[in-house]
Amino acid sequence: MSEAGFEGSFVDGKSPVRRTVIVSLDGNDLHIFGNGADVRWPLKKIRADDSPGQGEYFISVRGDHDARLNVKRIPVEVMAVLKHRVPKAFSKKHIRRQGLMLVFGLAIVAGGLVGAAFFGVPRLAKPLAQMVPASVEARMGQGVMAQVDQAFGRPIDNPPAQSQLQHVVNRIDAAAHAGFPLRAHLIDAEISNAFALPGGNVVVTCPLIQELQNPAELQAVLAHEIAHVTKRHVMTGLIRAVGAQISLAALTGAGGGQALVSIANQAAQMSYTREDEAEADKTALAYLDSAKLDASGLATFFDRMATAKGEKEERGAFMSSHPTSKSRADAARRQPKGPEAQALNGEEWAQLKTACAPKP
Amino acid sequence: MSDDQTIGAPVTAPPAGENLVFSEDIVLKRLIGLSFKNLLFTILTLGLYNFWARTAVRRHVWAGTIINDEPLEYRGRGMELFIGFLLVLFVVILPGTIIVQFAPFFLSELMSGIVVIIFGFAALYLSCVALYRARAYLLSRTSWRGIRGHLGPDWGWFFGWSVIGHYLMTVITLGWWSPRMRMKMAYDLWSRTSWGDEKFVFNEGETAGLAKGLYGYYALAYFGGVGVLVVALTIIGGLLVGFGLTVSSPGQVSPAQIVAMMAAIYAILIPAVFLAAFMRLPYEAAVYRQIASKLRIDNLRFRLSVFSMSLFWLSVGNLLIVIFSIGILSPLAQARSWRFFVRRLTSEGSINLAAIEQAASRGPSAGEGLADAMHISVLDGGL
Repeated sequence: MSEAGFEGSFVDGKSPVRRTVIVSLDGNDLHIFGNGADVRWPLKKIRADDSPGQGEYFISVRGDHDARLNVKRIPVEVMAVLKHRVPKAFSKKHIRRQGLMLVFGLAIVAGGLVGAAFFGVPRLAKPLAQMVPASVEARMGQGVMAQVDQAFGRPIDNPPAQSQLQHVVNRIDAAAHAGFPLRAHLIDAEISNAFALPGGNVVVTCPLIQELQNPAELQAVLAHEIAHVTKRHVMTGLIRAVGAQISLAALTGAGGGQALVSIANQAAQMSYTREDEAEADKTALAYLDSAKLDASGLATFFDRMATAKGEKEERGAFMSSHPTSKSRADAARRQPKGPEAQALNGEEWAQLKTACAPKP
Repeated sequence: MSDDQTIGAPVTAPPAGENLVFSEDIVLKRLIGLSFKNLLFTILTLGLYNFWARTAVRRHVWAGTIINDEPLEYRGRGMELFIGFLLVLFVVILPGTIIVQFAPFFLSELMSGIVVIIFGFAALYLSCVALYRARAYLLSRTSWRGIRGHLGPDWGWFFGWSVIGHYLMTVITLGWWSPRMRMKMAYDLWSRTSWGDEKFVFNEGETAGLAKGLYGYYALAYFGGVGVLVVALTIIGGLLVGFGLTVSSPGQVSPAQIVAMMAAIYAILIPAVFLAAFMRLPYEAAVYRQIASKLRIDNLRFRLSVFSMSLFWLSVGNLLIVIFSIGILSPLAQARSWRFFVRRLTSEGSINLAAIEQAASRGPSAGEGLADAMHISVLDGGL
């Protein structure tokens, strides 16, 4: 049974011929007829866009990509039926609610991406790092070291000094069994620092050598950095940084979230977590122990760092990534070692110091 | 109940040839409200709503564009843009990020430098491809009287190389290839554009003489621009030298002096850049007029009455809108530009609408991902 018709304007989507038609509700269909048109659109398949500012409806049907029915005025009683039968097309309230659902859904997706960047990636980074084969990391290390002088500073041109440093690393490696070659690099740089790079590259800057008071402190620092390597902290930090960038790429590309990326990157670049540092300390002690090396340096060095930190905040990167100096020093002191167990003798130590002495 | 006689004026077949009259009733005030709604939703979704925001603006602008008493319909969906973006994210951006990030670890300095250069070039090339594909998407989502626009065949990969070739020629000729490039790109795009199955014809299919008549305007823009910048830099150079003579040692320069100096440099440079841009307006206007005048569909020809001063006020207005609303009202500026061109577009001759049929292809299923990734604004892409 057909209700009263109302006027509309119809294109069949095949040719640009607009027909004035009569539209009526007929059972479950919208019946469009007149001037050569005669189609029935199932109500449940129709969609409608009200043209912005025109008060006109563009009505289309799923299954026919191009046909359009434009209707300027829909009689109130017909509208009431349409709102009830096809709310998603005609009920303003329903349409507004769908719009809000979309925003809500997108906000959840965005929140998920941020969550992945700040919480998921940091947690996944560690297990992922363990899965990277040592051989792959070793290859990465070669690539990094090719560019180390640009990024950090030039290795000092002093083969004896370099090989003394390597000698200490080798002694510790005998206990650490890193699984790939550990290489020590003594570089010239502005700030006092020691850090580990992918593939077992351990870098010590000259200003740090000058700050160290005895060979025991040097082997403590090196053991600590080697522990970062063997516990895959380096790889973890790298995966964390790239992972955060990737999870946020969807937001940056979409035109937002630039600020988030820089925050995530900064967070990722605080390379080691406190747990990592604690683990590296514990592991360093174990390495020094089994290599039969004096571990007292761990205590004296970090004690001094802790004091210095208390006095003065700006102490370079080494300090900022070693927040728990005081408690670590306490732990290290509990393991006394024989004074003879130094990787470098007095003469070698003096040579190393000289190699790093500031040029006149 | 009712038969054909009771229906209002029946529009069966249109007359054999119809002239097209372009008009608009775009309400800028409505776009202000829409802009703020879009901003709010974009913030709430950390940017993801952007695709739906853009779609809403287009629907407004299209619906306000009237050809022979009938509005254009924009049929694109925000979801299509979102999907297009996700595709490019996974196929281009993520692999690119990972490779560029990790290349230095595995390759020598030289090789990783080469990788970065290759990726830079690929980004440039993809930007050109993006221009073509974004236009294909936009046309396929634009319909009038139920008939869609169409850009095809899928020629984007070749178009990319062609544009890069033109850029190279422009560099080699110190800029003098540029008018030719603009017109050839318009030729390449419009010659492949159709409305339904009716193709547009550009310059009667001839590629010769496309930029004829543009070089006078270009010379003004070129020499005027170069002249203004040379004068500005000379004055700045003079200032710096004069300043250097009054200071005996570098240590004596106070921060206040440096600030004053920088202020002076900007006070000269900014007006100079504006003046150079101003001298370019006659050329820009001439390019628009030329493109419209070379265009034909069936027996319908176009005229776009765009001239320097009106273009000037349009640009200044848009610049102020964007600056003072910190970009929030940029849809308003886009709508003003669109309205500007619609108001100045007229046609002569006629088009036989009865003979036109829908194009078989529906166009790309997802849209503009590459353009989004490369940060290209599609509406500036010469449509």
